[in-house]
Amino acid sequence: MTLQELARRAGTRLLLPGTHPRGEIARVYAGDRMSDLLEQAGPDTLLVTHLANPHLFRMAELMDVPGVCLVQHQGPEPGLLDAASASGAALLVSTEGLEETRARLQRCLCAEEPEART
Amino acid sequence: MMAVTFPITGGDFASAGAASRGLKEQLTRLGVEGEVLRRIMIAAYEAEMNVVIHARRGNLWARFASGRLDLEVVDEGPGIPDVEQAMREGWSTAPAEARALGFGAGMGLPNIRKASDLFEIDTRPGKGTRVRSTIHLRKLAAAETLRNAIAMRPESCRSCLACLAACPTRAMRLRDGRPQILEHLCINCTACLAACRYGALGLREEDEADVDAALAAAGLLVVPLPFLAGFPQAGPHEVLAALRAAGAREVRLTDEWEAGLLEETLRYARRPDRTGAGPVLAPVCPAVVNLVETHFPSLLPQLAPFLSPVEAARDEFSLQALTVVAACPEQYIALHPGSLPGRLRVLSPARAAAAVAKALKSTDRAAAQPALGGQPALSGAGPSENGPASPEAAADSGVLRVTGLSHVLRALEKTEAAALAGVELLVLYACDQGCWGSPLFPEDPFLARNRASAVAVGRASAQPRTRPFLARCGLRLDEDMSGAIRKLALIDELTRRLPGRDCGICGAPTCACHAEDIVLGRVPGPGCPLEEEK
Repeated sequence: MTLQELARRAGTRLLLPGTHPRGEIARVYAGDRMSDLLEQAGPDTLLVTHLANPHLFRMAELMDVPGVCLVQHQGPEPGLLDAASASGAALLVSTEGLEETRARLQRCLCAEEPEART
Repeated sequence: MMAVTFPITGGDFASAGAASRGLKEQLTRLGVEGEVLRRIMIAAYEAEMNVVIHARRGNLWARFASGRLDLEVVDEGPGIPDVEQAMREGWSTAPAEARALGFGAGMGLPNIRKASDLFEIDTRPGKGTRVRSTIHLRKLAAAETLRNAIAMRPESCRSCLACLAACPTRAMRLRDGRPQILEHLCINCTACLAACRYGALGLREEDEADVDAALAAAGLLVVPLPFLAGFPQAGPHEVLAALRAAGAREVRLTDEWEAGLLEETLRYARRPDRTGAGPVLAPVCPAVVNLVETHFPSLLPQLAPFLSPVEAARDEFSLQALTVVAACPEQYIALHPGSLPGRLRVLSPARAAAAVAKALKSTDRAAAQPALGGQPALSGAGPSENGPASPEAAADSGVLRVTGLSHVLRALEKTEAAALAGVELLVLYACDQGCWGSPLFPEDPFLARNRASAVAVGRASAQPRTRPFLARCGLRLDEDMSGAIRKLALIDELTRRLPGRDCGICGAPTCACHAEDIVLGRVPGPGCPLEEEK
């Protein structure tokens, strides 16, 4: 599923579309430890995290991550937007918590209706 | 070979990740991608962040060669007092500043170890830490599964049984008029190829691409001297010109690495701190190395820890597009792993010879230049009496050179029995006359060598091995030890009942092999077909 479609279905805001060539998401991983995110990161993985710092996006760039979803977030600082933009990863924000966001995204990936509609 | 170094500044979170990013840029340029690149990045980034978080400064060094990446991150930091504890997931001494950013979860070293094929850590409290990680481009297991490069052409087989009689490790079988090879026994020595007169056995080639295209695409062509000298209608320099006309931009000889290897192994055999008795075995012929690994494991410590000549050539040019003409099936196997995908092509002498023959027709022979590749002309001695070799090694009385597998087997048996007094270096070739006698070269080895006498061979550096030589397990008769003992007794009993002619009519080279085939269910027959006929 494309990242844009996933963001739309899950009700998350897509702040930056990213420049990843495919932008196809096959799995979602949520975590707040950089090592866990690094180990799980890949070119078909959407990372979901509270970690709103430039290091997250540097890591995402290294691992060719197509997108990052920041949780419990109203909107990132300008500096973070610059880091996200430089990394090429798409930036999504969700007002929900980590587990809630992950579960919603996961359900959408599995072609189920988003919880908000059911 | 590529080697790069990136400095890392401790405490500089603003620049953290720059070293890993620099490494990724280099690797991407080389075509490294996918899961291998992902694993390298995990190891590099974790190691880099450890320096940023814990140390004053450090360096990330990486070398890419031989189909693997060696990564080393050295820091000037506090060192780790208890490495065992540090390797446990979740154990961390990271400061609050790092933890607030998501680092310091105690997963760094465990993650590096998980991402690596080989992992080492060397640390001294108060001095610093050195983390080494090796990641292979291809899974070793996958590379090792390709153990046999002999192609079968059963339609050409006349059931003459010559290959059964020739195979020194009794790996050949004939079933329903078709040759078969028991791969766990085969050492790729070419004895069966040499024995087959009907073309039922040959070199398996996976790359069916056009030879001219392969030569043109290669930045470099490596050929054995016997190939260059194997054309009755043209001298080596004319063949060289023809190869260039066919598209090869630079041509080097495998023999250059062979000369370098022999020189280095002689030095190795004579180093003052050498321990262990008996002669050093030069790993010049990979089929002989296979033989040692399969049948003479007690001699493994005597094998000099260097790559074979074709492997060394592959390593030296692992970042370039390279085409190699293999002298034998085992060279094909040895070259198979360890190069970037798509950058190495291996050609059989027959296919390369076809390209040469075509080019010879249109080549201006007078324009043939007597120089190979980037080497400074053809200087030094030509091929020695027993094959291309280092002139110093050839003239040395401490060096025993043996060619032909029956002689090699005897030499290895004598080495095992400590009956080779005065021999410091044993140079063994599976083929008669060394690579000159490979059955893949149709020309008579004496004529080819005579033709090559005008060619002098340069010397390239020997390459040390990083993977140890390992004994190869044979086939277990049974998973269960008591079952294996029972089957062994059955084989012995059945062998005694068979006539013992070792005639090969049953399709196995000996009666004992036939008994084993019956007990292990490879053939249904209860006994000797000849006796049954009577």
